[in-house]
Formats: sequence, C-alpha cells, structure tokens
Amino acid sequence: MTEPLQNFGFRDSSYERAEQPWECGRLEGGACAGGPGRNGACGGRTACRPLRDGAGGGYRCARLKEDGGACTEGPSASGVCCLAALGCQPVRSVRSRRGLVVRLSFLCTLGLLLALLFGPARDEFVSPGDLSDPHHRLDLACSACHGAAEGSAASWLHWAVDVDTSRDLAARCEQCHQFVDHGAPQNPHGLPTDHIRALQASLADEPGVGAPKVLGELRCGACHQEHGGRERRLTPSSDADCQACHMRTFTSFTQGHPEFSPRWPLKTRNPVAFDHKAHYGGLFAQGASSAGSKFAAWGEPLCTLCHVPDADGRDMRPRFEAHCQVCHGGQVGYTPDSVDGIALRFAQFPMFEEEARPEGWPEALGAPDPSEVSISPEMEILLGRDRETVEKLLARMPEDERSPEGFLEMGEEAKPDVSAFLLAMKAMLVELGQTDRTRVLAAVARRFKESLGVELAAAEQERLWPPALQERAAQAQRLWFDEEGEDTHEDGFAFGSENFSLDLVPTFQAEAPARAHGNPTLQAWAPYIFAQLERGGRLEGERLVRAIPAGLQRCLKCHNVDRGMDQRLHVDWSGREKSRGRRLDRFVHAPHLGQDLAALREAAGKELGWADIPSLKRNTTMLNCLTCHVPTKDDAHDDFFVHFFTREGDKPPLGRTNARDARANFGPIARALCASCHTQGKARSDCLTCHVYHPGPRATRAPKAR
Amino acid sequence: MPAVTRRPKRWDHPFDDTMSEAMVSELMTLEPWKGLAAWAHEELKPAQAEARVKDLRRHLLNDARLLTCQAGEIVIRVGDYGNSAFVVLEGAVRVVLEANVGLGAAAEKRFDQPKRGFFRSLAQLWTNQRGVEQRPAPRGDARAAPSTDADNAPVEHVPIVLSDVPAVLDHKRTARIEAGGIVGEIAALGRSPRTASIFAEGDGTRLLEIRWQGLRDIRKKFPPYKTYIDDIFRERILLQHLRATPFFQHVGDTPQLRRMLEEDRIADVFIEGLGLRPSERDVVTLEVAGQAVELLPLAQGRGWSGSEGIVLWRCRATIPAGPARVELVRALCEETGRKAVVVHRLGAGRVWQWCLAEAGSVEDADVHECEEGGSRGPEELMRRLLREIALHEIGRQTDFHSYGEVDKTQLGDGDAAEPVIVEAGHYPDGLLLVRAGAVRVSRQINRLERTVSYLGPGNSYGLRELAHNWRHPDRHVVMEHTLRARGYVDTLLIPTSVVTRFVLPSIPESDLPESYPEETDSPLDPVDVFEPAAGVDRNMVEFLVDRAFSNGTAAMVIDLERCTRCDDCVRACAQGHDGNPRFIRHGPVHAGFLIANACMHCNDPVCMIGCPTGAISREPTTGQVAINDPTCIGCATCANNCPYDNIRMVQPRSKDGVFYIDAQNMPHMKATKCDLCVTQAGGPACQNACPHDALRRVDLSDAGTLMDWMKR
Amino acid sequence: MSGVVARRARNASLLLGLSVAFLVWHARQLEPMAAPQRFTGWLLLGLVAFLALYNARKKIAVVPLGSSAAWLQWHIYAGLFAVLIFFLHTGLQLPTGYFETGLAALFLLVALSGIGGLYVSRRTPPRLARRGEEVIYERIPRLIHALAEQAKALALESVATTRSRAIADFHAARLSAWFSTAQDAWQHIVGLEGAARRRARALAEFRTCLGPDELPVFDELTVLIAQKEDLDFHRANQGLLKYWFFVHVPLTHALLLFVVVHVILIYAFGGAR
Repeated sequence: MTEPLQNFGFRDSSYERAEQPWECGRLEGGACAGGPGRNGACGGRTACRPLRDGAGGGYRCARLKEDGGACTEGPSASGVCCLAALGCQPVRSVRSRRGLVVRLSFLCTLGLLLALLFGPARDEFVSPGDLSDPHHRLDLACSACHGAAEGSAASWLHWAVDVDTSRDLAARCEQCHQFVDHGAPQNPHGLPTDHIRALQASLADEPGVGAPKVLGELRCGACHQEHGGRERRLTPSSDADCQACHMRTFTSFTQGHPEFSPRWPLKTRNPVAFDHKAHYGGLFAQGASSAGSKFAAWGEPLCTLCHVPDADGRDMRPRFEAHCQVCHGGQVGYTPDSVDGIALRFAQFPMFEEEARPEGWPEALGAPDPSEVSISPEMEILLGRDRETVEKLLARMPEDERSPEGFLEMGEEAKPDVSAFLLAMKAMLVELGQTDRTRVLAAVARRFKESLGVELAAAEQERLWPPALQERAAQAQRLWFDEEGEDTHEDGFAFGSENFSLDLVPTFQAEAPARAHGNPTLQAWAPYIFAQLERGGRLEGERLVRAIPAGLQRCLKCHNVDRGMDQRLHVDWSGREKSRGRRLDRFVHAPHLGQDLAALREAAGKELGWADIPSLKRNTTMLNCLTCHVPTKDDAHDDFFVHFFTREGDKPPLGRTNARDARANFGPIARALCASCHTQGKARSDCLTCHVYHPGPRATRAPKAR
Repeated sequence: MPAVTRRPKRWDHPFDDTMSEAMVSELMTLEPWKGLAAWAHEELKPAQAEARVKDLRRHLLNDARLLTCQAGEIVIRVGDYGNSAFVVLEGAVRVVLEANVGLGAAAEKRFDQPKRGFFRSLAQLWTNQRGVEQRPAPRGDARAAPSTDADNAPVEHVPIVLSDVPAVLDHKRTARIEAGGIVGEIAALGRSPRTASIFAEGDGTRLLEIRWQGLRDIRKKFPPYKTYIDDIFRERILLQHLRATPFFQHVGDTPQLRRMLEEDRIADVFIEGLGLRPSERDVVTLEVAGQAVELLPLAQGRGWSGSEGIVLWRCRATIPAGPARVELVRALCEETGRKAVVVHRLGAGRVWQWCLAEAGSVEDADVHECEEGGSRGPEELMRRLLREIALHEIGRQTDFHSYGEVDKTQLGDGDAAEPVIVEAGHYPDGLLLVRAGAVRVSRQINRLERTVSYLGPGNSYGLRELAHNWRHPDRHVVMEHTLRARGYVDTLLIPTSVVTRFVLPSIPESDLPESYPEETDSPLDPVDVFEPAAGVDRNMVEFLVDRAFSNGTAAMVIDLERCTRCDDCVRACAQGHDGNPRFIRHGPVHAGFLIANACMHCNDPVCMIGCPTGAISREPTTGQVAINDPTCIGCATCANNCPYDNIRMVQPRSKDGVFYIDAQNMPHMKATKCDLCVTQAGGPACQNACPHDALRRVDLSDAGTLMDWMKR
Repeated sequence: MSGVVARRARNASLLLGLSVAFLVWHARQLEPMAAPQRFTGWLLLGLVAFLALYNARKKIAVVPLGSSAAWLQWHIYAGLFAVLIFFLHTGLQLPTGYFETGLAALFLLVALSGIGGLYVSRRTPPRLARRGEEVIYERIPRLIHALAEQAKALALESVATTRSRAIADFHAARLSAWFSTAQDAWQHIVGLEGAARRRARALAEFRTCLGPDELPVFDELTVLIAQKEDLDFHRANQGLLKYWFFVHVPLTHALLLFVVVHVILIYAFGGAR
C-alpha cells in the first residue's frame, strides 16, 4: 500500500500562495506559517514565541497545532525557541523569475534598439532593403530621399506625426527627376485639382473607368516602391495601381473596358490639314503611273512613303523636310530667293499728301501706293504706348471707310498728328536699333507690355527680336532719319532700291535667317499678332483677315489655328500630334508594323488604289495600316478641304475647332479591333500598355544631370 | 516583534451598535423575555437565575436589533437564506402561505450584499494588500469605538415594500402573526432557505431581529423557549415536508372514508376515519349578521404538545357567503380558542361549506367556501379538509431523529462512524423520510456489506416493506437493508400504525410498491432511490457520496486532463480576497477530476453550527457561506466542523508583517475560506480565471450537473 | 470529450472561413487600394495588441471582463489569424533589412512559441493526470526531500533489521544521489523511458541477490523509488507547462518594442505611402 504523499487536512497544509514572488525554501516539513516577505527575506525564523509560565518563571513551547504543536525539546531557559534555526533561504517563484526574465529581455531589447538607432550603423540597420539598380548605383545616402534620416532617431516621432513624409519624399524625387509638360507632378497625371474635379463630375455617369477617386495629391511612392532589392523594377507593372483610383474596375481589356470614343484616334483635328484623298488617291497615284513624274521614283504609293515611325517608334507622322518639301518647299519660302511671302512688317509709313507731311518727313520714302498701305499689327505692337498716334490718324477717317486710301485724303490740318506719328516711329526705330542689346530687349519687353499687357520672358524677348531684326531697325533708322542714310542703303539691304523707285510703301521685311519653314521668329510672333488682331475684333470678317501678315497667311494654309485652353489662338507648329504633352494614352506604331506592305499588294493581286483600300483590309489577315485606319467616304472632308484651300464662302480659316471638320479621311477605331490581339495570352493588355501616367515626352522624365 | 493586542471577543461587533441597556430593559418587560425571566427565577437557584437573565440581557444587547417597518415592508422573502429570526413586538406581520407568485416587483428585489462595480473591481488591484494575511490591528469593543469601516459594517437594512398590500391580502392566503410571535427562526437555526414570505401588516410594526447565534444560545439556556420553538417548528415545517412527499398526496381519501361520507356519517369520518376524539365542548351560539347561529361540536384533534388542537363544528344555519362567514369564524375562534373548522351542510344538495381558521389568524381566516356552481366542487373541498386533518394527525405522531456527528474526524472511518438508522432484519417500525444529509443503504451479500444506494433529502425508505406487510399480514417481511448516516442526518419516522391507517389505504393499488415474492431466497434489488440517471458514472457518484461531497452546491472541480497547473485560479482568488488565496489546488482525485480544497457551500453547512459570533453566515439570496473576517474570533470551531477541511486558520499580521499575538503569546487566528466571490461582480474568480475551462464550481448534489460538465 | 472536439471543429472552421473570406476580400478589395500594407499593418498591430492584452487580462482576474477561457479561445484563433495577416503584410517575402528581419523573426518566434505552448498545454495535462499522485509543483522539492529521507532511513534501518549492508550500500551507491533532486527531466518530457528501464533492470538484478529477510525492506524501497519517479515526471512536465512562457512572454515584449519602432519608422520615412 502506497502512502499518499500529501495530506489535505486543514492543519497539515496551508495555502499555497501562488501570487507571492517568493516561496518558502524549507525542505523539512511544510512551509512555515510566516512565509517569506515580498523582499525575499525569511519570515519564519522561529517556530513560536515561548510562553512564560507565571509560576516558576520558566518558558514553555507555545507552538500552534497548525504549526505542528508543541515541540518535544521545548524552549531554552532564557525563552528562546529551540527550532530557531528553521529559517530558510526563500526561493523565487517560477512566475517571479519569469517576470525578471521579461523585464530583463525588455530592457535588453530596448537598449539594443536605442544603441542601434542612435549608433553609427543606424542607416544600415533601419534600411528595409537595397535600392533598385539605378538608384543603387548612385550610392545614395538615406537622407537623399528621407528627411527623417537627416536628424537623429529622436526626431522621428516628429517626422512620423507632424510631417507629410510622402510629400517630402516626393519633393526629394523631384530634386532629381523633372517633369516637363507635366503640370504638378504630385497631382494625379499632373493635372490640376480643378481639372480632376471637373473630370470626376463629367465621368461620374460614364461607364468604364468611372470617376477617379483621389482628389488630392498622389505621391511618387504610391506607384514607385523602393527598397525592393537591386533587381526590383521601379515602374509599376500591375493594373492594381491604376485601379487604386479608378475604382470602377473591369476584368480585362477584352471584357469591360469601355469602347473608344468615336473621335479616337482623331480626337482633335490634325495640326496640319492634310487631304489624304487628294494626295493619295489623286496626285500620288497619277504620278506613280506616269513616267517622268517626280513621284515616279517613289515607287508604289504606299502609306509608308510618308508615314515612317519616329525614333520612339510611336509617331508615324510625315515631316515637312522629308515628305512635303519636294512639292511645297517653294511655297513656304524655303529658298532664300523667295522670302517676300513670309516677311514681317514692323515699320510702315502710310502715304500722306504733301501738305499733310510735317517737316522731317523721310525723303527716302518716295511716293506711296495707297492700295498697299496699312498699319500692320506687329507694328502696332511695337509702337507700344505710341500706338495712340496711329489711332488719332485713324480717327480722322470716317468710321466705315477706314482704308489706306483714307490717309491720302488728309490735308494740312492733320499735320500735327502725322508729326507725332513720325516722331513715334523714329523713337521706335532708335530704341529697337540701338547697339546695346540689353536695352533693345528691355525696350521690346516694355513695348509688348504697353500694347498687349504681357510680361515677356527673357527667352521670349530673344525669340521675338533676334539680333537680325535689331540690325534691320538700325538700318531703317539710318535710312529714313539719318543724314547719311543714302550711303548705308547700299550695304546689301534685303529690300532693293526698286522699292523706292516703285514708290511702294517701304517695308522692312524680316526674313528667316536660315530657312523659311519653321522660322522661329515668325512662330514666336504668331500668337501676339493674333492677340493684337483680336483686340477690337479685327479678326472678324474677310477684310481684316487680310491684316494677317502675308507670310503668316502662308503658314496657315497648312497649319491649323486653334484656340487653346487659355482662350488664345495658337498654331501648333510642331505638326505633331496636338497636345502630346497631355495625352494619357499612347500608341506605339512600330511594334504593330511587323508586316511588309508589299506583301499586301501581292495578296491583293493587283495594283492598289485609294478605292481598293477597304477591300484590301478585308482580304488580308496581315496587319497593315489599313487594318486600323479605315478610309471614310464622308463628303464632309471634301467640303473642308475646299473651304480651306480656296477660301471661298464665308467660313474663315481661323478658329475652326470643330474636330469633325478635320477627320482626315479616316474613320474611328473600335476597341474590338485592338482586343482581337490584346487579350490574355496573346499580347499585353494591362492598363499601362496603352495608358501612361506621366504625360509628356519620355525624355523629360529622365533624371536631371547632377 | 509581534504586536501584542487584545484577542477578538464574541461581542466585539454587536449586531447593532445603537442598542442600549435602556432598550434591553424595555424589551425585558415584553413577552417572551418577561416570561423567560420569570421562569428562571421560579425554576433556578437565585444565583443561577441571575446569571441566566444577565446572559439573556447580553444577548439582547449584542445579538439583536430593533426594526420599525412600514406597511407592506418585506421582512422575509421565501427562498432567501436567513441568519436571523424576528420577534413581533408591536403590530403584526403576515405570512404568505401560498407560493410567492404575484407579490409584485418588490418581491424580486434582492437583499444581497451589493456587488462591487467594475471600477471597484479594478480598484482592488492596487488597494489589495501585497503581503500575506495582512489585517488592520484588531479594534476593541465596537460600542466603545464605533466602526467607521464601511466594508465591515453590518448590512444596512434597506426596506423593500410591497406596493399593493390590500391586493395581496385579497388574493393570497396569509396568516397573521401578532405581537409576541416569532418568525424566521427555522431558516435561521436550520441553515436552510426561508419557507415563506413575511411582510409587515401596518405602519410602525416593530420587530426585534435576533441573530441566529443569539437565538441558539437563548434556546439552549431557556428550556421553555426551546419547547416553544420546537413546537412552532413542528407546526410550520413538518406539515410542509409531509405535504411535499409524493405518497401523501391522497391521504384522507381512503375507501373507508369515502363510504362514510356517502353514508353521511360526518362525525364518524372524523372520529373513526381520522382518529379524532369526540369533542368535549358545549354547543356554541353566536350572533352573526343579526342571526343567532348554533354550532354543534363534532370532533376534536390533538395538539402538538398538550394544546387543544383542531376543533370541528357543525353549523345548523345557512350563512350567506362573504363577510358574514368570515365573521362567524372569527367569532368562533375568539369564543373557543385558536382553531376551528366549521362544517355546514345544505340539505340534499350535498354542498359542504367549511372554514378553516389557521392558528392565531382569525380576521382573514383561511376561508374556503363552496357554493353551488362554484369553481371548486364540494367533494374536492372535503378531500382537502380531510387531507389537512390527516396530515396533521400524521405529523403529530411523527418522530424526529438526528444521527451522526458534525465532527468530521468520524467521517470515512468505516461503519463505526456511521450510526445505524435502520438495521437489516429488524421489523419495519415505520416509514423513514430523510430531511437532510446522506444515508448509505447497504446489505449483506455473501457475508459482505455492500453499498447498494444512497438516500438524500426528500427520499424515503420502508414503504415497500410496510405495504407488503399490510397486504400480507400472514407473511411479514423484515427490513432488508441497513441504513447508515453519512455524516449528519436528519430523519422523520412515521410509525407503522399511522402509515397503515392513513397512508397505505389512500395509495391507489397501482402506485403501491410490489410485494415481495414467496421465495425469499433470491433477494430483490433494493428500491434504488439514488440510482444515477442514465449516463451518470456510478463510480463517480459513489466517490462523491462516499466522501459526502454531494452536500456541496459549489464544489471546485478541476479537470486534470485540461488543467495546465498554471495557478491562475489561485492568483485570481488571491486578487479577489485582498491578496490571499482562499483555497488550495489539491484534494482527492477521481477519474481525472480533482475536488479542490475549496468551500463547497454545502446544502447544510455544518460549519455554521458552532460559530459563537455568527461570523460565518449565508448570503441571503444565494446561500453562499461566508465568514465575516472582523467578527471572526479565530476559535476554529468552523474549521473543525467542516468535514472537508475547507476552512483554514491563518495568522493575521500587520502591514509590516508582524503577527498579532495576545498576552499569552498566542497568535490571533482567523478562519478563512472561499466565499465564492460573493462581492465580486464577475462571480467566482477561480472559474473565470481558468484559461482552459478546466475548473468549474459544480453543484454536486445533482450528479447530472457534474456529468454534463465532465462530458462537455 | 466530444464537446471539445465539436468546439475545436467549429472554431477552426470559423477561422478557416474567416480567413478565406478575408483573403478573397483582400484580393478583390484591398489590392487595388493605395496602401494595402497600411491596412494589413494596422490590422496586424491591432491583433498583436489584442493578443498581448491577454496577458493584462490575466493580471486583472477579478475584473469582470469575460472568462479567461473565452479569452484564450480568442487568443488562439486571433493568433493564428494574425499569422495569416502577417504573411499578407509581408507579401510572403523575406524581409531584407536588418531591423525588419529582426521584427519578422520576433513575430515568427512568438507565433511559433505560442503554437508550441498550445501543443504542450494540450498534450501534457492528460499525461500528468494519468501518472502518479497529483501534486502542486512548488511542493515537489519538499516531497522529494521527504522521500529521500524515508529511503535513507529505510536503508539505515535495514542494516540493523537484516544484519546486512547490502541495501544500505546499494542505496549509498546507486540511490542517494538520485533521490536528492529531481532527475531525467528531458526523458520525462519527451516520454522516453530509457533511464527508468535501466534503473528497473538494475533493481531487478539487485533483488536476485537479496536474502528473504531483505526482500520486504527492498520492496518498500521500490515503492519509494516509484513515487520518486512519478514526482520527477510531474516536476519535469509541470515545469514544461510553466517554462514555455519563458520564451513566449519575453519575446512578446521585445516584439512590441520592435512594432512601435516599426510604426514610427514607417511613418517617419514615408513608407506608409
């Protein structure tokens, strides 16, 4: 029979005090009643306090029954308990030891963290991983991107709580990466918040992408995640990042993606008005078939004659120099001997009768041809504040009969006004022709401000008034107002002496210094000329259209004028896709042009003409331009080109912003067409295949040189 | 150095600090104290008498308090656990005789000690003592230095008042207890729940509330008072127990009585059938509602201890229903004594009308009426009357017996410690009803004593033998089993003659237990009252009963297959008790279940019996047994009495860890035990703190509860 | 114990369902969000805080805050869920920086120790319940000491009663050191019985050398040895139940520190996007 180890009687066992940090360390018998104190000192040194018996003065044991009853030995004569040695070394309870370990490990961790966070290897310690390769190669310090890394770890709480760290981070991205044409780079797509709000409102009901969610700033870090290791690409590759804002999601490009706008890819009209039908169907075809034509050498009149991918492989548009110049070079004064058509007239004198001419009237002017006399808008701009002298003269004419002839009808009574005009012209020429370049540009800026109220940037001043024009002004001043004028006249003026002998209104024409097409001075002047003409509604009506300088008129034959977002008239001189900088979609032609177009002809089995194009597209499975760009039979195009080139009827060539007028003979492209290839397993179909986040040319997003 | 202080004494904490000698003197002029003093002077030697009366005065001073109640104020609520009795000094109280339903919202209110709120629960985390068993220095006599400690103040008397007393009086059977009467003594002395609700009848009802330990001592010191209390007990409790016993359902409904009733032999029904005696009273003529009513005495019962008992009267006149009948009964009771039953026959319609006036309550005497077309048929009313009288008669002849010792040292040491209640082979001398405790039923099988079952409160033994002997007078059997008391057992024994006369004839033949077969060689299975229900592990039940754990209503059972021995329960307990655990996580184990050394809050907490100060008491509503630490004087009576060693004596010490000792160098002691976290908002902290659901406070009196939990 | 099995099945399937639902939701809803890691990060922080709060809940046992058992259930399943969220948060990639490697390692160690602790606290109690007398851990040294004293007394007594030094010598040589402290902790924890078997064999061999009057004494000694072995078993396994917290809890505290630094770092360095 095994004796039980424990007895549960109330005298044999006392409470086990699990909540106390110390346990009685006594092995002999049970734990003593006293028990250790909280400080771990033994609380049970003696078994009892012996009791002094009244009679003999001796002591007797007073140990409690609970503690084991009176001991056999009894107390000493002096009343000391014989079991006084019962004291033990209390031991810590397991739980108390655990508490110590917890506290110790907590302190150690805290110490370790503090040492590392405030130590020299801090940056290495907290870095969550290597930078991607391009950044890694730069060997950037943490503080290049993180403001918090500039201070000690003590400042991090401030950074974490008080600072918009992602803005700080983005600002530091922008220190290296510039975003030309991007508006505010931290805004979604660089668009202004108002614009996004407007988009939100307009897209609220539109199926597909739906209204974007984020209105505030969208920082670089939202898509570009660093510290993913050297191999990690920084550009996002998943649709998820797009769908973070474009909440109305769809499964894929093939399923659920909204249809393309019927205006796509020709949402706005072309920067250059070009009639494919006339060129391709007419001229090229004829030329190719007739020997000796200058087109004969080109061979088959295929699209690729003119449409060649650019360096990006993206843009297929023809270039003037490469494609148009062959035929149209002379029309835009490409050769130096045909500069007349593209001149600016910044100084003109109307013709007055003798009696109206004041003293000092330039003799060199000779006799006028009233029909050629006008006050050019560029001269009005340059007159600046003195423009009022012109207005005074004009005021002398009847309201409805203001014409160059009107100047000739003025008599002696007009002499003071003519005199003022003369002085103003002289002052202008002196100022703009002086030798100090800085002063000239300051004068140009002042005069533009006085007349148009615009502040010109330094580069703009330079473009508007190149040194050549400064020289011209000096020459004119010398010719008209200098004593020695006659001599300098010989020095190879661009305008011949016949101007004077013909008694025409003498005109200083600024010709392009290098080549006429793409003349930067003309391009720079164009918007200011439009602006000047728009003042007072002078662009209305056929008559004043002719006020556009003849050279500019030549440009506008092909280059469309459009009203921009600033409500001013602009010409897109690039001849490229309009508003390229703001387009959020992209199409790169090059990858789509894998097929040899010659093969098409073979497949068609005959010579191809404009009329054959639709059938061509149907008959081949091979990808070619016509697969996507389907020629239309819309007569509206024909009308457009008629109006534009002949300038018949009432339609002005300017301000036409109705895109339908310029669809360039091709119909819209359907999504299903793209989706037939861009579907899972065949070709990429994620958002970023066709859409870009950062608008603008790719090159502008490259890091700045350091 | 230990701190030498005065040892706490019994009356350091009187029931009510405001009781004064003058008030005691006033009380001494009232019954029953006046009578008790007179008895002492008559019966005892002068010195002795002087001492007794002085004791009585000290009890009144320290163990009693005066209450003044408003009309409808609930004094006692049925089901609550009471620690005191109430003596009516002025006015009257009403005892609600029917079940407690319909007393209204007031009756639902709790007398409980307020639980700690969330923030007080939280606060104890840092107000708890950090050391072991630390106590403030014991204070002296509270009367000298009134307590300011809110925690240790006696429970404030908060009146809970019935909103509509007249409605209760109209719709409930109530009994009226007038000045001099006592209520609440049974629960107080018996450590059992209150059996009825009692409320004050009118405003300004004055009551004297006596703590149970005071009442116990007075009862011990004054034999007349003991007789008085015992009689009341018999009258109030015994009948209730009998009424609740299933096979007494039909007493008073024997074929013999039915035949007599059919033959219209009313007097014989009571005298022959129910054993009353012919009444010696004279005819009474009363003036009721302007009409002279003549009442003939029919028969007379026997009272409990020499009192007159019930008297049946026959009424010759026709009394209209309503107040007139009430008036008649009141007048009759006033005229003749305390109890009366009026039987009235209305011609050939065989409609009976009877009014039973309960003891001392005349005005709203329990008037049962039956008119033609009434809801209760006359036969049914007559049956009820006969049953009441029969039960009364049975009760009068029933014997009380108590067995076993409270002292736990006698437990579990074999037969010697288990007093025999019924011996196998003896002639069945009566029907045994178990009132409290556990009874082991065993029998001799192959010369070995084998336990076959256990009886608990409410169970009975012997009906089968008695029924057999009654049906087979020629072939009597003897008791087949031996019954022994496991610990403290209270029984009732109804003599064979009474059972034969009242009980057996009334039980339908189909309900009577089977007779014993002729061949007694093959002993029958016993009537297995304690047979565990389906799915209950018999071994576990035996383990529980064998160690008398089935007494516990909230034993701490730990599933050792789940317990990770983390001691979270112990720490939680300590947190709830000022930094000290109140149980030990050890104890007997059966089948992987450990019954820990924690107070089980017994059905019948024998620990309370000897407590001299009443420091140990039951919570009014829930019945948890708790020790009031300041009142405890460390006598260890409770710890010695607890059969399960669940009370532990500790040595309190000061904040500095210095033991308190008395002049004899003996340390002060305090009894400590689990209080089931009565004051904690979340209930038992041990159970809540167990992360693995391995610890549960289980009511072991119902084995099913444990089994359900074991199989969870 | 079918109730427990049912509860585990229910809770585990609930967790699984929740996890799958969360993963689906996360894949559909969270991925497109600008900051999926911010969401999972804060969720994880909340979970870790909740998990750590269990320790606090245990310390304030009397405050009515729900039963500890319910808390543990939440603790276990929230812990498992936190592991899932952790992997979502890290994108199933190993962190590359030193600090973040430390953080991840701490999290995984805490999670692993928790799962290990769960295993220990499910496996060990039934083993304890089946073996020997149920004893309170803190009492074991005292009980072992008592057994050692008994064994010693028995051995000394045997010299007088049997007039032979065999048992006393055997005790001195083979048993007294073994009796002095708890032994073979790892064997008891793992469940190996090599040492016990060797000892039993040695005892059996020794028994064959004893005379008839020595046998009863020796058998008494054998009982003491068996009791001591049971105590060793309890000491080792109850100890295991207590000591696994020595890994889980301190690591949790270290983890919390790291988490705080992590959050500050992420926000100070703009990592929260």
